[in-house]
Amino acid sequence: MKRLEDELKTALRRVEPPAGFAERVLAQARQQADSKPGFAARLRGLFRPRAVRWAAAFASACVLILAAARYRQYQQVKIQGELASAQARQALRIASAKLNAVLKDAARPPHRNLEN
Amino acid sequence: MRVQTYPVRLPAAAVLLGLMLIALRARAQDPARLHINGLEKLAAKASEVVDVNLDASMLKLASRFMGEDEKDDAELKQMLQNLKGIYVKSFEFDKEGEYTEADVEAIRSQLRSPAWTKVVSVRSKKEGENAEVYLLGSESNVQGLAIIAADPKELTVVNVVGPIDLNKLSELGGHMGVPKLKVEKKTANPEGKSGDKKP
Repeated sequence: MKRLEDELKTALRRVEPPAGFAERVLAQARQQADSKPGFAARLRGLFRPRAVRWAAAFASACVLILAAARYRQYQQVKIQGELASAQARQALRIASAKLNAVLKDAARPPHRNLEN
Repeated sequence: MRVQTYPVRLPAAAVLLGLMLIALRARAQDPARLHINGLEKLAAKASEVVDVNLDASMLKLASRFMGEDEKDDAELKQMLQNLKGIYVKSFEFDKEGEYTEADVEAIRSQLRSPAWTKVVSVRSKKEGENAEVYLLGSESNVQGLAIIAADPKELTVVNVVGPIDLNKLSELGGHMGVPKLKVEKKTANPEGKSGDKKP
């Protein structure tokens, strides 16, 4: 019985921790606290659900379609404008030519006109 | 039997009437605008057709697409910005007699209104040429221009609506491929009808 008591005392005796044990535990705890996800990671996390990704893709597609429609509209207006510009030039050229021709004929000496 | 009466709201009625008048006035055509669409039937007989119908909005659009770098374009742009419309119908025929005097008279009759003044008229009996220039407004403030040029094989009607500088229009000929003419700006008419108020 005495021997058993001695063995228990030996096994349960107070043992001092090795040197630097407390510092190592504190350092590990600090490291775990520092490893929290950053802002970018958290932002990415927001877009993880599938519905949100689809919504983003749909919105991008809408923007692209609107931009294409707007460009097409601009192209049509440009064609119309260039056509109108060409027509205006032609109209003014005819008006100018006819006006000048009439003025030229009107400025002829009367006897020449009468001959005609 | 109960008869329900509704009070007449005079101010509302007056406002409505005013709006209707404004709308009617807006719809009223510019006196410088001629009805020349009747000539479109001649297009079928013509060998060459020029048909230009540009109202104020189209002229604004046209002026937007004219460059400002070249001097000619800048002048044209300035001219177009003030105009309310340009309408040209020009037909060239292969043979004579494809249009009738009635076709021309339909245009000429519109120019007999007191607002228009015939400033130049040239007739050549031998060549069958007939050209007339009409102005709306005073000489210093021209608000409309009409030119009828009728040859045996060609009929051209030009109608410019809005303020236009005749000197600038005449000068355009020299810039746009048409030889510039140095003509004194006086009206001369062999038939002594110069400056007729009415034809």
